Amino acid sequence: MTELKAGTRLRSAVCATEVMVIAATDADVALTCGGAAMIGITETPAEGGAIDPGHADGTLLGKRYVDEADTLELLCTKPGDGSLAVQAGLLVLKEAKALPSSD
Amino acid sequence: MNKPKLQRITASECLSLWRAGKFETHFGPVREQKALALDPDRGELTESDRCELLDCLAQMPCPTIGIEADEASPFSAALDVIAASEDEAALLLRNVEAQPLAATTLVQLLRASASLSPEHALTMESLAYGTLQAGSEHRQWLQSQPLPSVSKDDSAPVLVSRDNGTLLLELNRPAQRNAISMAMRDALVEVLTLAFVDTSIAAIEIRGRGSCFSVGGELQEFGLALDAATAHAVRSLVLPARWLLRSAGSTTVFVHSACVGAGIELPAFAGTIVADRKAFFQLPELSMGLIPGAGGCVSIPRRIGRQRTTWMVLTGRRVNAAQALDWGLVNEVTEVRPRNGSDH
Repeated sequence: MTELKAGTRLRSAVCATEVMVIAATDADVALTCGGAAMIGITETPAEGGAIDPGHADGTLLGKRYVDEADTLELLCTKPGDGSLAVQAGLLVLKEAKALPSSD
Repeated sequence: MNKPKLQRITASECLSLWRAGKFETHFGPVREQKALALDPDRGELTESDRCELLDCLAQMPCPTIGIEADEASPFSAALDVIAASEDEAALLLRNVEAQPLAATTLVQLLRASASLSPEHALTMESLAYGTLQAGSEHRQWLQSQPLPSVSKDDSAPVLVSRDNGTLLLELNRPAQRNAISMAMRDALVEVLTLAFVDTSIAAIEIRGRGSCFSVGGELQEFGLALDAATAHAVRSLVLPARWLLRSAGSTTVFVHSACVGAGIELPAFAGTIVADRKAFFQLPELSMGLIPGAGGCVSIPRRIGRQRTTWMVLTGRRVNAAQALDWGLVNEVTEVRPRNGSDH
């Protein structure tokens, strides 16, 4: 498994998703996308892998995803059909606090 | 016709006023004379007079106007704006007299920030803009408008996709002619942050969906700022211009039809602007008691110079694609065919 630290790039083994690690306080997490373990950005996914229907909400380009305990933050650099997850469950979209109008 | 008379003073008269310490008692938004128009007659000026004239023009507490025919004069480069004719000079004066606070703040900002880095110049622009937000001219304009409200969208205000190393952005508020709302501002900052953080993105292309590239800031939201100081703080954090500047070299913007206010201020940061033949460019902020506040006081003078930028703001006139190409406001004029708006 690829060690998770800021700057690490990973890709999904079962969809087009690619992510970049923004912050990881716990390097020892089993990160999955579409239900399958994520692989290094330069690795080639094994053939025949399919998205787990329970992990098929998709990822959005430019969005940030965090785990419930806020120990991991990922930036989606390429969107795909699978969902990101760790052992504890699906990652959630990190909603930045919107700032008021400047006009 | 209530046309203000254009009183032009000669260089030696200008120097006499300066040496008598009278600039500040005669000129400025809260004095009798809201602008100074310089007569081309050079009179008998020594070399040291000329140097002193350049120095004092840079400190004039109001816009300084010259006329194009005089362009050969040694001090024309020190003026804030050059009119094509006496009539145009009179128009400039009329517009300055209508919004003297905004007009003077503009020329002071452009004089001072020309030598700054674009990043610092953006901060200066925001400070100047904030000052005018709290000013009487902008407040009066706000009172003439319907009560402001947050503009809502049914779909994403910016569409984002990726083609290998190229990030593709489309402004997606076609029904609002791609007016830049808070939601679009935040979406632009989000995606430009991605381009900054993800170094595998080598190029950015920006387009507008629908009938035009963008008519600029969403007027429906003007007046929502909590206060001018907080508005400045917000601009320091989520100004799309600041993020665009970080990827400027690799960015190409394709524009068509109306590019108004921020609709040209933002593209002007890009390394390349490709404009449709029917594109036009306009800075309407003066009539709102403001100056360009989306980065235009930084990006536009760095493309077309201080005097033409001042001309665009003080006249509020449209610049067509051919003129824009000639000035360097855009890099290429061709046919730009946008995707239709989602309402088609």
